[in-house]
Amino acid sequence: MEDYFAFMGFPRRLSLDAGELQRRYFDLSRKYHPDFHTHDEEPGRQTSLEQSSVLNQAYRTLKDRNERARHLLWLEWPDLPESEKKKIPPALLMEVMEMQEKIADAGSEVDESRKAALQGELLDIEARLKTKMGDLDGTLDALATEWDGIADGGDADARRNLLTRLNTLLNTRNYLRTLLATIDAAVRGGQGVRH
Amino acid sequence: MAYSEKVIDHYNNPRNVGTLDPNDSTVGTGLVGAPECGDVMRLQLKINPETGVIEDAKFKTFGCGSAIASSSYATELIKGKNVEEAAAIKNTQIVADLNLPPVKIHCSVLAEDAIKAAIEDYKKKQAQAHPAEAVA
Repeated sequence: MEDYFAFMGFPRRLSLDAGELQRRYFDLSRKYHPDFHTHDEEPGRQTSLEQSSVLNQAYRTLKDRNERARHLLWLEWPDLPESEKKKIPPALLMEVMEMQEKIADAGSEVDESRKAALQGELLDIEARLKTKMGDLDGTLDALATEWDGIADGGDADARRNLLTRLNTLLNTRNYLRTLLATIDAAVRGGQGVRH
Repeated sequence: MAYSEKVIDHYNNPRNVGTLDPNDSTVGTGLVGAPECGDVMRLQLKINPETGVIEDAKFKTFGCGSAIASSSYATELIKGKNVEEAAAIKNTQIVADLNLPPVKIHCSVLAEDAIKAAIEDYKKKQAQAHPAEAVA
């Protein structure tokens, strides 16, 4: 995988001007578009095709703040150990398991009034999870500001410490997202989650 | 994605789904997760403290077909084995036996992690229940 920040000429920061990102995307799209290179000699034509594919991936990744953060983490800490990759707050896993069991119970409950009660509980859980998700967004904002302040700084420990917190936050977010999609599927017949 | 028949069989008819008493000192519980997809897996083993043999195994997994198949297969694999043999099981064996596609290898890692976590939990409980004795 490439360094998408470098590819699009941005420094490795978590805050990014969405308008500027789109401008650069359009500029580079024109530059690399295969239609403008049909008369090029090989390998130039092949290169432009590859570059425009990288560009699309780079744009999609940098546009989404969570994807952007994940990409930055991967660039800054390429040898992130397996144990870190899986790290989440200890109580969360238990909570996720309990909620998943409740969702499954609601799905298999045949008694109408009990089913309604369980669905009500799910809606409460959903509201709580959405609040938590909002909190995580706020925390990500704070981490972004913090990172952008020390990104060029020399203190390796402070950077590592921040990246550790960022990793835990992104992992936690993935669980909440899966739970929310599962609840949506159970309550409203939504798509559920693509594993 | 093309799943092997074995994966589909374990997904449609998962073996050993359920729970064992988590407060039983001969039951080890392993709860693990895969943050990249939000999957959770709980594996419980009932181990005979005299012989160290795994007499029962139950699991519950919320995740994709491969995660469910991996954990279902793992319970079949470890029943009747002793703790050391079970701890030595590698995810690569599960991948090979179930013929999992490369993007689903992390599901088998989850199963291996769950086995290890359950055994660790059992050993910890045994050490607490019989502080003076060495644990099998």
